[in-house]
Amino acid sequence: MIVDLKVYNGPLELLLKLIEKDEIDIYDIPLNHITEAYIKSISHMDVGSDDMVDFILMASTLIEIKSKSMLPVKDEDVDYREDLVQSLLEYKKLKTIVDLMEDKKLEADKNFSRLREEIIIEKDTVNIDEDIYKLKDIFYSLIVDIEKPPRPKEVIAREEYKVDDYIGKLAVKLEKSRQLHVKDLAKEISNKSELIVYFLALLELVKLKDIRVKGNNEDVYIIKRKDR
Amino acid sequence: MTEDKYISALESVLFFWSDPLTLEELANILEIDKTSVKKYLSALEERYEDEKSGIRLKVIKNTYQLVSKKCNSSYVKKLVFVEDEKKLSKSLMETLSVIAYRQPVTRVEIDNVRGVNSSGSIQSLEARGLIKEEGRLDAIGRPKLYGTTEEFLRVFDLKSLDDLPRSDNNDEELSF
Repeated sequence: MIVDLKVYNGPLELLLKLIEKDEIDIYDIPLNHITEAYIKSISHMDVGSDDMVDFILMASTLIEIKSKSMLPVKDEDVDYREDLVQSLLEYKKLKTIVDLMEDKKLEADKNFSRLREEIIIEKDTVNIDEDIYKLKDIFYSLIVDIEKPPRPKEVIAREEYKVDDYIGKLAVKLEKSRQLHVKDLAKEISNKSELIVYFLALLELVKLKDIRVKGNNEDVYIIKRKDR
Repeated sequence: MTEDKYISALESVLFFWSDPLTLEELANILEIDKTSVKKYLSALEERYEDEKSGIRLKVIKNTYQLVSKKCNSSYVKKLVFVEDEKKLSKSLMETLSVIAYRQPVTRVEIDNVRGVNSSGSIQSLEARGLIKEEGRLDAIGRPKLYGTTEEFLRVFDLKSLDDLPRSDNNDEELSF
């Protein structure tokens, strides 16, 4: 689940905004001032607890840096803000990149490609998927081909077939070859329950308009529809 | 067949199929070698560059597809319904950008750059086929490594990853 924060995408973005607003030198952040402003901002923010975690973590980091730099014994050369500054600079860089990528996508979206789905394989084919009875016929023609498995001598745990798995299986197959012959599919099916699940997966994909089923009495093809 | 005949055949095939076709597929269809196909494709690409043409040959890695020209998008748009789903939210764009520029990259590294947890974004991007797992890092916990897909190149109209936009004042040390 993606929740786009209404105000800020994350603590780094918020911190950057605060720094930019007050025209603060990023290499010399006044911790007192920024921590206060930061905590004030997040206390008014209305985000889910999951996202809030990240904001609170940053608040504690700020306080940690602040307390570290207040310790009497300290090395003159160490700036505890350094890691934070690096993160901020890196995030700033990312923001420029995101802007560039967004422009690129806007441009790319201006190219339209055609939808490939009206391809007819042969003149005498029909859209089987528009007719539930024809789909049913395919099912029956396949089920007679499946022989009864020999009765097992001992009880073996039954294999479970899940429709979702078979939807995935079909999708992968269609990704590789653009069209599938139903008979080729049937070759891999070993028993009735597997066939039923396979067929349910097929129906689901037809319903989702992900595939087309076309053909005539002899040959039936499954065709992937273009992503719309 | 003459050169023009091959170019014409390529045009018909690409127009008809309308989905991206690879160099291999085109070579098989035309029954000629890939080098010649590539030559004819560049000729076709050049032909479309003429402003009299409204078609563009979109080249992504080694796939080819005919698309409408950008300058005519305002007209073509009237015929299509662009789904909101095509849009990528800010958090998805951030995550995708880190992956694109730093691949292969682990989730922790993405989280560090963004300052927020990115697992949700990674899942959505994976579901959309824009990124994929690219093995695991040889480190404690063997974290997954992510990289972009060919679909990503297609969506952003990039010929290859070298085509990623660069900012003018690029700081190499930040490796973006």
